[in-house]
Amino acid sequence: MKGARAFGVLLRNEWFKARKRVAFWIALGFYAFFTLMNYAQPFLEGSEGFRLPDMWASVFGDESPTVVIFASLTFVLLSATEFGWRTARQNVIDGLSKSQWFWGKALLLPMVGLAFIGVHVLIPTVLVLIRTDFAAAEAPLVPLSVLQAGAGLGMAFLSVGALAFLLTLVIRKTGAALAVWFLWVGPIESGMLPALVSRFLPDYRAWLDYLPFTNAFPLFEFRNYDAAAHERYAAAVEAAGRTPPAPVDPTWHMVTAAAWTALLVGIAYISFRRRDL
Amino acid sequence: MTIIETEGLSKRYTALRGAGTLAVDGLSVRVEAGQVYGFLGPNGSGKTTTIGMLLGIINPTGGSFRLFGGETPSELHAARQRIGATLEYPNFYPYLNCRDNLRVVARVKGSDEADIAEVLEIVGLTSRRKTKFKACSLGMKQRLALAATMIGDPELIILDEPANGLDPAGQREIRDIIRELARRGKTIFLSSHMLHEVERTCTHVAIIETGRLVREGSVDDLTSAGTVAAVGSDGDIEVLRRAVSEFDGASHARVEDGRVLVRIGGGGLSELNRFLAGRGIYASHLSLERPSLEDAFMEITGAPEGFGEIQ
Repeated sequence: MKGARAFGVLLRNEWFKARKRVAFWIALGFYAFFTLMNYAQPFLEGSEGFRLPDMWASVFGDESPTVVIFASLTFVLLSATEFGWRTARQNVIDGLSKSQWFWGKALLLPMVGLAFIGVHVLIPTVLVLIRTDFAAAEAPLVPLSVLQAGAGLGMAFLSVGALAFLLTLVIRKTGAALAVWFLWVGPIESGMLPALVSRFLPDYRAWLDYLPFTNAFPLFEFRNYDAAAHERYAAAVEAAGRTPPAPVDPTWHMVTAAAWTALLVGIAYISFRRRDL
Repeated sequence: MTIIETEGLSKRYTALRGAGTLAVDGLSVRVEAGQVYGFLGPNGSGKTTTIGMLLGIINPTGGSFRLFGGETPSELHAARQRIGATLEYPNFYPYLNCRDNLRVVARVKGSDEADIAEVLEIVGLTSRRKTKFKACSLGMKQRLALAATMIGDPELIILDEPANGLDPAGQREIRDIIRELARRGKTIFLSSHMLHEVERTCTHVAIIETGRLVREGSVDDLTSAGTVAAVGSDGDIEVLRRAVSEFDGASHARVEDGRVLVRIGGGGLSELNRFLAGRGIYASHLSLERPSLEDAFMEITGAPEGFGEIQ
């Protein structure tokens, strides 16, 4: 089994296993419910900003870290059990090479991401389409920046999800992998590392912006892709009597996210190949 | 054609402290096409580790092996597509039913629904195909594992304790399936504790102990060596067994079918008869028998009495 056939088989098998798994649908359903509830009030009240294209700043903004966290957790739930059930071992006995098994799981990561980001974008989009007065629209409803923000969110998920992927393959236990992932994205990256760097390597503080989870935040913000959205945001901040932040160029954060993804998946690959199943 | 060939194959499990455990130590075996090859050894002798290395789930730490003549990673991967295997306990997705689990395997092996239906029929799981794996009995799980090995009509079938945990009827079914596969010309590599079954099924055997090969050959060759005496008496069979055990050179005396079977060394039957008479025991039956594979196995490995009977 090689090339395109191997890719097709891995894709079909991973999707088959995921869609038959109740845990996957519970997690996705819970996230869909959470998203629906989040937009229910502005939808029902017909709030001023609840229209296109203004809504994109909300879709790609405050709620984006939540979708990345949900999707990463679901990936760990779906993957780590392959070791507990010893089905990873069985898959190789049944004819997959270890590399193929690894790349099958690597394919599952964007699959899970697509499912969650799809729900994350689709639910508010459907709701807002109902409320949007298309005749009164002054700007394109779906500007190019939406695609850029979508790509940024996808890339942000891949880099943060790659950390979950690495931990899953190294630790091989659901609870422990989740715990370490949470520790990293929480206390370690947000608290301990900044404190240590500030104390011992103060000249390198700017580098902290490029740690896997921190690096993802500029990629979450729609205003970093859309000048008009940034102007609206800056005006609102100024109106509140505060100084608006300068727009962040997401390009370097995108490149960094890609580099983190490649690095973490690469480490996972080397570790996985060296260890017995 | 040589199907499996290992040369000095070794596996050392590393430990944080000390030298670790040498599970397989320079193992060299050859399995030719069409053989039903029994791979025997006491618990912890390295059988499963060896099979794990052949299947690619365990990385060898020394030596080499070839499958269907292939040695490079891509050749081995291609060769493994021609293998169906079970290893230890069957591990499938607990939330998938039997048929869906086989679908996962079938996609990898490029097989279709008809093949799945056929193997389910062979192992007698057609009516239970929609039973989730987690709800299957151990016997059903073993059958499902056997069905998975047959998907894609592999040329080599590797079975590691396929009848573990099965009742006698289940063991007989597994044996019948293995015989049927052998009849179809498949090469079978069978690791089992059930020495009676191996003797009935296999053409060749290798015996390993502490990771090393101690004997390899045809079943006939192994069982033609050595001498076993069968002794019967009208008295207490246990008294007879104890007395026979004390005969010079005797070992592994056991009771079977109302007789005592014992491996005897240098002494012949007349010496044994005289020895027993000297103890006031008069044999009603005394004969030499061809040793079973179990006798040969215990002779070679020094395994405790009763090995091969306990499942």
